[in-house]
Amino acid sequence: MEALAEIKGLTKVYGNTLAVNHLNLVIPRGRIIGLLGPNGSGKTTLIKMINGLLTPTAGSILINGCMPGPETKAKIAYLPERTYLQSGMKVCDLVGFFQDFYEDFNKDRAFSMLSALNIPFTAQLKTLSKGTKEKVQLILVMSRHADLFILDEPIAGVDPAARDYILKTIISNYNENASILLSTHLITDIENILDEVIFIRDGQILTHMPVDAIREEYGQSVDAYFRRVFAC
Amino acid sequence: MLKKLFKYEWKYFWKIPTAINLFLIIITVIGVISLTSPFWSLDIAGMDIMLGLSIFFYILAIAAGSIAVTACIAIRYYKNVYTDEGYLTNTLPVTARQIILSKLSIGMLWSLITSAVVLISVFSLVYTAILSYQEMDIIYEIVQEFPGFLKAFKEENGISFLLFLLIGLIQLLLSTAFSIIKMYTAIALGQLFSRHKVAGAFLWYIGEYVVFEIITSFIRNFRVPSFSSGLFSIYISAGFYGSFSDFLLPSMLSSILFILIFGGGLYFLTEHMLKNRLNLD
Repeated sequence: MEALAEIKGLTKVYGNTLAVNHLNLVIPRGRIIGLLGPNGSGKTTLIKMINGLLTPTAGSILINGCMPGPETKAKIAYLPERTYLQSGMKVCDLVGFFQDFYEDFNKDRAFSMLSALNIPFTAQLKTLSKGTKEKVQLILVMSRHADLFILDEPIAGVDPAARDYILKTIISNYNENASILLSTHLITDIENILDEVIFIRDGQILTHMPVDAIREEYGQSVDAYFRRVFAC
Repeated sequence: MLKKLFKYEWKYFWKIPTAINLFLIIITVIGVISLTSPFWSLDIAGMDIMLGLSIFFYILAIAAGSIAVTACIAIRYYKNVYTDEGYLTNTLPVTARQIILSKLSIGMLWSLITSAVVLISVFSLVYTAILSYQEMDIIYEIVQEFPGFLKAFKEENGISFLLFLLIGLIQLLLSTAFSIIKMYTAIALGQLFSRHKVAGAFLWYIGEYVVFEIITSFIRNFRVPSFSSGLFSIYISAGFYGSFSDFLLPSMLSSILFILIFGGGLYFLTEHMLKNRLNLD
């Protein structure tokens, strides 16, 4: 099957800092991929370049054969690590906003998930707690039928009970043609849902392999293997 | 998609400009009411100072209101495109041009509404002040004289007053767009700074101002006397330099050309920065 995303020689330089260094990556379809690495390893920089929020210094990114632009943005559901919604908007208005701009957005699914997490539809975003805001963002993103879901730290700010719901939501809400690229530090929490992992350090990929292969080859969980590879 | 962007831009950018314009209207109403009160005809010591101070604070309030709306337009663009909210704006399946045009159009609309409110405010106060001294209604006089004025305008200038208004309207729209685009470009170029991007935007804005002042003074000195990119100063200058056909028409047309060239240039630079040089923190 044709690759969902192909990244070749991707480089990003900030001043004198090399954040991403000639990175090559192929993201296949139908996989949940963990993007793992220590702080400052280049995870968020890579994610932002795929989403067209950062301009690469060199290299190319192709998603469904297209360079980042309106066509790829229609196919990527992106959850950043920060609150990116206008705080003055109501939750129901945000649902309307996503429905207006993303053809693949499923309003009923969004309202059903909001109900399940007891989030009031008419509440203004600024009146909600940080964790609830993150849940709203995740619900909006996961209510799309996108080809590629890119989730940057999706469970970092929510309580453990909500984490289970979110992970269940992630697994159940994508189809076999879609892939999920998930960046997090909470490896133990997500390990069981991952098909593949990418270890990244100093802007370069150290390892990109199936989770089962790590267990078979090294006899360790992903979390333990991560700790071994990135031991200080 | 552009229609949807317009819809949301209008929906989430009306509260503060509306509040500012309401403030300007309230100030005007208070001004008109106070001008018609018999208080000003009382013979009290220091009355001239009080009147002077009232006029000063009125001008200050009007100027502050106009500047506040302009600042709101710039802040809205910066916040929505280059801060955390930019993560949503720039991942919508829309082009950089659609983002800029939607914000520019709504910004222009608010800028024009505010200009109209300021104009009506000044006119109302001046009209009320004149009425208190003259018994004849000045509006009645203008209405009476208007057909004659239209005929005389065409005979003297070889162009109808309606066409003059149309050119003036085009210039007004273009100069409003130009003043907003200058801010957008400064914000976009401010992003080139690795730190203190807002301060960087201010520096670029000052730079743009200086460059355009040099260019306009060059054109003024060597090409068109009293050329200006601003509509208001052209009207003022017209009084000093002669008739419409001698001065005003060439000045207005060259001003339109100036804005089309430099405003167009700044617009494409802003679009290029958003499309090809975006680097959100």
